[in-house]
Amino acid sequence: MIVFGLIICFVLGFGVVSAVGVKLSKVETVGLSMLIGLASQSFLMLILDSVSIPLTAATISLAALVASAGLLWWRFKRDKDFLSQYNFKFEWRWLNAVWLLAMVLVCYIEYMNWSKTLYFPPFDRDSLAGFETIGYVIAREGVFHNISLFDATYMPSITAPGSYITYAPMVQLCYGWAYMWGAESSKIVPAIIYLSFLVSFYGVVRRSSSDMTAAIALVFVLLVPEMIAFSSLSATNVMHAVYASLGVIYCLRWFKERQLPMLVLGSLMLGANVWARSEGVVFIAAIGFVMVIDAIRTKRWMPTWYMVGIAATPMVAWGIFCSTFNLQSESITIMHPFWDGDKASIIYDYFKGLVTETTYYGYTFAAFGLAILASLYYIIKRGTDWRLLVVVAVAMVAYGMMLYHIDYKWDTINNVLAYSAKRFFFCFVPICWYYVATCTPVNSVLTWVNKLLKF
Amino acid sequence: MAVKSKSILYNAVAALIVLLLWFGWLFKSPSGDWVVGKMLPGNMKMIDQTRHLDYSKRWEMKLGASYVYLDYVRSLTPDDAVILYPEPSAFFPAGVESPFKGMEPFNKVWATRFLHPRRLVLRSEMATSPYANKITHVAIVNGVGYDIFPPDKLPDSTKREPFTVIPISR
Repeated sequence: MIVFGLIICFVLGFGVVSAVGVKLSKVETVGLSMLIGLASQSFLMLILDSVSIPLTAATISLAALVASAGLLWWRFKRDKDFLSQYNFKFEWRWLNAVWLLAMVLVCYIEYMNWSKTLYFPPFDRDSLAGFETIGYVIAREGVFHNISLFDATYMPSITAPGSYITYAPMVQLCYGWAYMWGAESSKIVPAIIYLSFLVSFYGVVRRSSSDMTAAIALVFVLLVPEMIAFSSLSATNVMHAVYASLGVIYCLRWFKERQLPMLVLGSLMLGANVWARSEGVVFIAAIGFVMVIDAIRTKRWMPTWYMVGIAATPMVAWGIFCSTFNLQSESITIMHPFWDGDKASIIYDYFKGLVTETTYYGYTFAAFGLAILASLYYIIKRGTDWRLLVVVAVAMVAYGMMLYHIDYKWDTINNVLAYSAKRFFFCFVPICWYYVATCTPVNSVLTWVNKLLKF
Repeated sequence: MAVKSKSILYNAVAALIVLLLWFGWLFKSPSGDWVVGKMLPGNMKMIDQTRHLDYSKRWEMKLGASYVYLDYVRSLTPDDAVILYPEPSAFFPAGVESPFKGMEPFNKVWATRFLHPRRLVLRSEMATSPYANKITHVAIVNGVGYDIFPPDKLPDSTKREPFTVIPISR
């Protein structure tokens, strides 16, 4: 049954991607349609719940199909021939041994990871004490804002600091949707999101480089220990990293291609990133920062407004939803400026530890550092390859500041750093490997190798 | 034709280099070895060995005593039951090795995943919960919870099971 749900979800995502009007490869379309479909569908669920329409597989599917039909019709009216870009033409001459070996390894690893994800039920603490259970109850009760878990008279702890009641709702709604379709467990959601991410990441690296480079980059992303281990759990972190990293990468592609639809696509992914986890707002801030620099240079501010407008919409909608239905918990944010040297030092030391060791993120940050060194000439002399570095730096600093401004009432700062913060760094993994694969020196060498191996 | 032979040679050399890099370095590196050599194959081995288990048994495999207990409570109570649920201290008595170690069956949200739509009321909520006067069952953990019964309705001490759920007769 869940297969029908997934197909409808894919069609909705395809409708959104088509309406945006961005020219994507078939690989990118497949991956992004599924990712955007899941995010859009959960947004539709929030709208249905807002107007008191019961959340069932039938109502959600109907809403998704109506929305898909409208979006595809809109695209069809503008360009009757838009499906022709997906014509299948078999071409094998780009194939080479390196690509083949890398893809065999990718398929082997992802096969094992997919099996692991679907075989084991959700068992991690954060899921059972939050996302998974909320999703399960949404499916059983057919509502969201007034599920029994959100009734403070029944569940007094739900308004406590750090409670799940105010967590961005995408993952919980997706889990609910999976159960409504009769899924044995909600793990189909992280499984399909990670698989779609791999497809999309391959597509976007290929867009910037070659199939061979994309396959090699994919191997290194898959071999990041902490990230692949978490990709099979129900925790939200990897799913968030998928949207955050692809959002950043597609927004950065806009600087190269300068086509507004590309920016809209990236902004939609950034919107989904903050729809999955609220701290994703730091990536909107980071992309906003480089876009403001660009706007000052080019005196064109409209793209920046587009990006902020689209990316912030889910966050604003969630804020309105929470205040309308009184989904509130005790605040954990310190709103006034203050200085606490010990706290700043703990955060700085932990961040430094994360980027300088290989246990959690493999060679990600080491390779990223080497790629920066190799690109220094192009960054300084030619003014290329720098925006992604600024985005990473701004996002890290902004996230550090966010952690600094949290009042740790419900847990210790050390625990939050060891769990949430460590997993937040998943967002940087695909971004860093994208940079390594596509920075001018590496790309030049791999393009030369690719030509050499061409049949 | 000459170009093709050259391409085949280049590809063969490239394949050899890639395989040498994989087996000589990547799969021997701590991260590569853990992902490809230990974590994923280890999970696949476990999947192969336990493939005959149904989903309930897989929950049990992952959550241990916590799942067994909650599943037992579920099997003994109707959907509309209101259960007086034990506090964390009952699951983890001081000085005793608890079978629930590492899990959070005491967490109301956590337990709701397996007991929904039954309603749970903690002792600490008895003064405020809208369900306090609607309790139909008492969950017993580590023998804790019998004290709620008046002496005349207290089960015989020889029949007091350490892990169970008991209906309250009104």
